[in-house]
Amino acid sequence: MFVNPTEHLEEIRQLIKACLAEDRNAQRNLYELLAPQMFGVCLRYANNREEAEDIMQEGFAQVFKSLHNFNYSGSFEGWVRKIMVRCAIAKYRQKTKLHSVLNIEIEDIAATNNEEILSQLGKKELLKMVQNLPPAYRLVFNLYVFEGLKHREIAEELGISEGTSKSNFHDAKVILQRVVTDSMKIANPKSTNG
Amino acid sequence: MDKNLQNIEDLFKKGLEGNEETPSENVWNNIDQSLEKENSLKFRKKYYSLKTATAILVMVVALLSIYILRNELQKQTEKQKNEKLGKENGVLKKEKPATNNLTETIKNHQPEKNFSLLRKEGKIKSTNGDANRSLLKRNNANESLKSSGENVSNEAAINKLIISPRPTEKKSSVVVNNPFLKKPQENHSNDFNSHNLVIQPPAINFEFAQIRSFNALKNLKHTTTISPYTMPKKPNSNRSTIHIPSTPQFYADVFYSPTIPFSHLRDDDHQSGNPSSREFEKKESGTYSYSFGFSIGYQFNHKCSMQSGISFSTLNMDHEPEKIYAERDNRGAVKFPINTSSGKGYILPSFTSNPRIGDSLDTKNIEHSLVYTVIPLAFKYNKTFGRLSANLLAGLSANILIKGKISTEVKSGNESELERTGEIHGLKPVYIAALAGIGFDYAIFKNLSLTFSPTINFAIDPINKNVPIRSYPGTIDFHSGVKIRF
Repeated sequence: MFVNPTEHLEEIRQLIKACLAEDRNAQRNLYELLAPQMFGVCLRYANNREEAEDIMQEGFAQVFKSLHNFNYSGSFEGWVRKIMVRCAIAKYRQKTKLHSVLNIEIEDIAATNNEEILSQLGKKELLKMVQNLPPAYRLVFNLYVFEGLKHREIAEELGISEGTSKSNFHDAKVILQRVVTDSMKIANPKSTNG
Repeated sequence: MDKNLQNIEDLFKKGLEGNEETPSENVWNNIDQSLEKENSLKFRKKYYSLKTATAILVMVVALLSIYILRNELQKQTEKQKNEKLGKENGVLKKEKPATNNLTETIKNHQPEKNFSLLRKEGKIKSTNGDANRSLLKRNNANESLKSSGENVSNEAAINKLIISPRPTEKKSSVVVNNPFLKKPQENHSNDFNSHNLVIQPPAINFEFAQIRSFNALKNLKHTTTISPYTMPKKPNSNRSTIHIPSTPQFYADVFYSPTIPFSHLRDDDHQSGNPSSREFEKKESGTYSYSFGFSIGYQFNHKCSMQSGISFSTLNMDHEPEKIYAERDNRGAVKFPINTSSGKGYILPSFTSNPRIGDSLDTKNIEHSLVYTVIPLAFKYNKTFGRLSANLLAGLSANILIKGKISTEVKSGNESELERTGEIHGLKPVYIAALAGIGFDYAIFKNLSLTFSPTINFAIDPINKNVPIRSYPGTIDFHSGVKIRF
């Protein structure tokens, strides 16, 4: 079920008010309203479903804890999403950073456009590709592509240099290009061979 | 390479933007549990404040009660004494005829007999027997004359039997042990000035001895504690006059103190991957702690003193539940780290004895406690108001680490285990703290006082080193104890 929170501003206001009064039913309703979207976000930042659930859990706990800080000036959905992203960053920080040593070789593939690729690869496959990126690359890729942050902002957020951010993003793209190419070869062996 | 794949980010943005999936029911259950924990933690914090306030209130009430009770007891004792005195005086007045009888009896009684009786019972030691004998004769004769009138009082009747010269007269060496007889009536003592008469036992016994010899005066036996001068001086009638010597002297103080710990954290080397001090400050809170020990001091004069001593102090902190990830410890073994503001400890639950790096566990509340031996050196400025003295205190203390402990319950799936480690990495063996406070001493006796002293201690150098977060703990102490002056 898709619910656009912006269309239910008044409902959200009521729910927030009830949540601030620590009404557990209201908290559950608010969670159910936003959970599918937020889980979609968490899945991109996580390595697997379990990790995404961990991020989601910590994120929502944080949302309920700091709900009194929401000032209704912007989108509530956006505010919650930011918290989820912050939790994902915190999770990344807690983990030991594993720097992958990559040996990336890009093969030429036949001309295909994004629509064609999308028609052949499902969302789940794309998600799996992102999830399989090394944590640092995945984080930078997500922040740049989906949150729209600049490399300078990413560098500040993660405590790394701007150059590292750019480098991680480039490497992430190279890996994704390779896996997309591989997937396309499997999905359409003729066009890739020919 | 294909042009579209150069913009691969667009491909993923189109494909995954707005992607929605439903999480498992466990997510809400876990959120629900964490909200429950949060509520209980809030309640505990509130309850902790309430407990602290109650403890302070109880102490203040206890001190006030002691003060009031003591006053009341003293008042009651005085009242009882006065009542008894009044009652007995009343009895004497009622028994006026009997005392007249006594007078009569005395009048008819032989002075020699009186004297011999006294001597027989060892009441009188005389160095000049004849003189005393004649003296008694004369005295008895005089008193008999006086008491023959209708207005003779009980006191006069009894005075006849009590030999009580004026103690200020040097010529007389009469010693009367009864304190009630220290105020002689002038009318009765003139004749004794030149005689050496010693009455060793209390004169009241002498009186009683005399009275016993007359059967008619049986009813007066209970008046043996009464004398003509029964207005005993109230001992310590002015209660605020306990004099606390201002001369240099030593004192010792034994105390117990409930404490409220707090912690100020600073980022030392905040790098990516390390939690910040702000996160810790949000997640940690002080729990019930205490200290006990003794101090010895030297009072230079009635205003200034210096004190030192030794005490044992516990510092207990609570850290919110969190997920921990296995990593290599300093020895290279893969264990689960627990980060606290004091330092990092490693645990290895039996159900995950061979973890891989990155494996995770959930913890419940993490408790970390530190025990220190504290050696203070402080100056005190005192101001005395009768029994109560107030003082200002300032100084430094060396805090020597005795032990540190981190404990928590960890769980993974259905498995859970209580874990504890006594090894906290990064703790310094000694740190220096400043202390300041106010104190109140209430003197119960000349050398014994009750003390109450709220004091704040705060670290002026961190308790840990080579760690991302430097911790400066502090405590608010409520010292209550007993002080003895030597």
